[in-house]
Amino acid sequence: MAVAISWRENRLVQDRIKRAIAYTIVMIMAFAYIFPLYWLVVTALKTDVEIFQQPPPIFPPDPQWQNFGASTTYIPFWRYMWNTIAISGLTVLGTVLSCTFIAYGFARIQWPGRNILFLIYLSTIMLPSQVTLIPLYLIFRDLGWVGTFLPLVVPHFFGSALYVFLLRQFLLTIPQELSDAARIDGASELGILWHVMIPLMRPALAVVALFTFVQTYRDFLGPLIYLQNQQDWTISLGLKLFQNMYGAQWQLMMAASTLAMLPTIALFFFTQKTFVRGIALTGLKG
Amino acid sequence: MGWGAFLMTIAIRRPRLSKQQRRSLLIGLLFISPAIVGFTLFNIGPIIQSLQYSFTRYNILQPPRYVGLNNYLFLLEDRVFKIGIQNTLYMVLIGLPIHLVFNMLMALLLNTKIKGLSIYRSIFYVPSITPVVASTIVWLWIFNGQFGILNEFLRFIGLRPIGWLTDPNWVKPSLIFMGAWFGGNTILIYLAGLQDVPHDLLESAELDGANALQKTFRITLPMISPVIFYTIIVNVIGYFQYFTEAWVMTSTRDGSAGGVANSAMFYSMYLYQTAFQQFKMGYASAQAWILFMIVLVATLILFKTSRWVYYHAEE
Amino acid sequence: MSEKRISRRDFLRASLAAGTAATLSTMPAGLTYAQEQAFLNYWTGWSGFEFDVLQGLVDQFNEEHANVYVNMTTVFGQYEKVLTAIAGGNPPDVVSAVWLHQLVQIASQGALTPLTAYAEAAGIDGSKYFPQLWNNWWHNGELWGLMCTSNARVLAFSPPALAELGMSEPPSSIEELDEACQAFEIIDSNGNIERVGLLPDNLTWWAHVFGGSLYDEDSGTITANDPVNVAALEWMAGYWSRLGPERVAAFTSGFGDYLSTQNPFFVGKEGFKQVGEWFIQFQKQFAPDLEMDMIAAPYPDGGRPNCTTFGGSVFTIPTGVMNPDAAWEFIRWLSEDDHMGEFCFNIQNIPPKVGAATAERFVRDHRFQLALDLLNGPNAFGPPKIPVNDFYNSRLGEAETSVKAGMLSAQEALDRVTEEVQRELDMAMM
Repeated sequence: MAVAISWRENRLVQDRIKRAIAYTIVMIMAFAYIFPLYWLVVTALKTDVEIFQQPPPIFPPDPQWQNFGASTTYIPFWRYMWNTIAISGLTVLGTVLSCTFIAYGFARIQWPGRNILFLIYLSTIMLPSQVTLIPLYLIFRDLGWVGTFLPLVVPHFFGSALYVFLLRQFLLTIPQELSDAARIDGASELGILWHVMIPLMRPALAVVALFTFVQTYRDFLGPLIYLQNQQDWTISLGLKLFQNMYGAQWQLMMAASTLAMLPTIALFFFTQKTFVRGIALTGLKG
Repeated sequence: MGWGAFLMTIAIRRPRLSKQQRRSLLIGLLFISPAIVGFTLFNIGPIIQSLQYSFTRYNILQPPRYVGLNNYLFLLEDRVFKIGIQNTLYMVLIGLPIHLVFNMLMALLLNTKIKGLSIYRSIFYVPSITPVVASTIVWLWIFNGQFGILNEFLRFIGLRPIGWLTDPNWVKPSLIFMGAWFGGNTILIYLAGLQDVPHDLLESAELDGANALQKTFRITLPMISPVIFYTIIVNVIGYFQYFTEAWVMTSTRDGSAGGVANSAMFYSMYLYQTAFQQFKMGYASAQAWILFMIVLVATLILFKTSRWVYYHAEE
Repeated sequence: MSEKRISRRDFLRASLAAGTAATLSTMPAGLTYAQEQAFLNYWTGWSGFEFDVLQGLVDQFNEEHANVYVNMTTVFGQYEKVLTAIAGGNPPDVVSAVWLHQLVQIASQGALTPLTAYAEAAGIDGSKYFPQLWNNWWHNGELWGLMCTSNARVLAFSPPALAELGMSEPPSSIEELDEACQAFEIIDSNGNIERVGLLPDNLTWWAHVFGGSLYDEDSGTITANDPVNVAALEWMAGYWSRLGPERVAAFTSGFGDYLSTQNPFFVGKEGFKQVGEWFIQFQKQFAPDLEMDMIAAPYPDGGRPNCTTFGGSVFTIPTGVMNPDAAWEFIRWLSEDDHMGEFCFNIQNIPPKVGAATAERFVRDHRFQLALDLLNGPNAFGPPKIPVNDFYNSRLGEAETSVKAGMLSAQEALDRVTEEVQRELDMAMM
């Protein structure tokens, strides 16, 4: 008996030590992850003299809050923001719409050959975008679309294999009886999709919408290739230009970068659960 | 569209299909028609076109001229192209394993029933959803040779400052270092996988006297091996397309990029420069096709050697 | 009936007004123009105060031309956008963000409209231009652009700073330059560089100063690895190996914005700076209290005295523009002596026309006179007229950084450049 108790106590102590070590490491890492963001904001609040001070002040004695305002006039910040959100919004719309239909066609309708076709479709996830980049550019050029939002938005209205996959997985979990009951009531496939499936799919659609938004919002290469006039740029292009043109205005660059990050960070904090669920979905069913 | 019609004729000609089946086939194809159109217009079509362009010289402004295998032969002797391949392989073979192991360690750590998990989860995840350009700009400043906080720290502890981005030997490790910061997504994928590992399995192993290390290697990791496999595939493909971080870190006012002596020139960057700065569309298409083949072979090898992935019978 | 019609017209009018207001509010101020006007998008490489000076002339042009409206945008820091736009089928109507060294290349890619016929019709024949500039705008028997400004490379320094080091005369030989530079250097206790004499840059210039050249037009061969060029690069890189490549990189990463009071030369971080005559205006703008003089590049034994390389931005019309006539009118107008002189004077560039350049207000400044003499002298060199010059430049740049970083010897680096650029050239000629 005594031996058993001491073993258990020993266990408890060991556990506690392990726990303490784990906490310490996690805290250190959390600090390391937060630090660049902290440094971003702090640098944004410095004067152009403090920027080059050695050693750098960990927090500026007189924070220059007006740097944020100045950064939005140094580049047409709000214009770029609006462009970015417009492109991202349209992309979300296209992706959600098209992927819903495609996923429904692959998951809820029994037709010969759908599995093999789905596999072929799914394989496009592995296609490096560089392979199609040049011909697509030339096609869009012939259409006169280069220099507009269209090349960035229109392709998303034709589905995205990853999100079709995600929605299909989700749709497969919905009992077949629901559809059958609706069919007996005389509902068409479109009716079933609209009245029965979409209400149930909402959480999955939210995941698709969020992921698409963040992905488009962060994109750099697409806008770099297709957008030309400065007033059409996205915020990522604008920030890059900032870096090229005003190399030394670090504090303003940092301020603009901070502001550019806010939308996605805010979005994350308001929809944390959806994000976490979405991440579990993308990874687990691979 | 051609695909749809093609598939439909095949389907309709098959006598085995009942009227009901034919109807559902039609409706099914109708529902997936955006995918068929998209697949044809944005995937298959361009892939074939890209192959055609790769045998031409084409600067967009003048009509393409057939040059046979010249582009491919020229690539064999293109030094910067080879540097691009080497640097990209460096990221895939060194950067990627480091990231995945690191992310797994972080996930294992977070899986120890730690308090305040959701806060830590947010902290690790947030960097991965910030705009790449915005966060890379911060890192540019952190890595700055003279005023960067990293070198400030090195000087503080009495070490020599490092040319994080200017020393050809350091620029890729610097990019990997920064890349870890962007990896929260993978941490969360692993964490979700870890939380799905059945508890009874771990408990029974514990009763059998397995220690933590044994539990991790014998049970936990095999149980989430499909997740690991998934992240490997996705990240390998991603790293072959590595672009934005390196571009923002190294590009200069005159539009060139790649760092000192091309030490940070990656495949996609060279392809971008060839296509959209020098407008050698044929030459760039040849590069794209070689990339395609490399990625294809890499994924095939990964799938062929995926016997270590353990699919437990669930579905 | 009538009530309805009126209300409909009112509605139309109101919505039109609202639409116009909405459109106008999204446009930058001053973008209103009548409908019959030709609307020209003009992309310039100038920014900052130089942009403002040019904007003044553009405004004047717009005032004088009821039927043309020029809208100027700067593409400073993103010059590659120019070719992207032309190739993308969305070209601006006029571009001056084309450097002289790129002209032949861009023209031979089919990206530009030839100006030969326009120039003939307007009576512009080169007799008024500096011949070395004029010849550089021709390729395959066509004129591809006109310059309204030009630049010659010189070395800037501050006489009082030099005097502090006990030197009354600026250096004239490479040895004297080296000596002066070393006297300038200050390194702090941590080993950080605080001040340098010079960080030699731009092999093209120094290669010519040392007596070399980059291209042999007669044989069509790339001569990057000419022993003289190798010596020039070795000399340049010597500054890096002496100071330590890492320390130099750390030092330069702390440089302030070029176009500001924080320019490293203005804040005393550099003793000498490789610039052009335009730097006179920069100094007036950002460091008015600084005493600054300019000299021609010091040269070694067997090198070239009073040697400079010239360049600048070329005004061109891309292919496929809607209104090439109006675009030409803008270029022609800006090339008139008065307008060219006005622009050049306010940004202190050399007008490409002899008459404009030798005007009293320019040559009053002896520094400007120096640049002008160099440009007009026997040792002024333009870029090689080859269709792979961008490639050549980027390879030279790579060679320069590799040698400075100590990764390659000058010989290895330039051998490689020669081989690769020659191959690229042969390929382009195929």
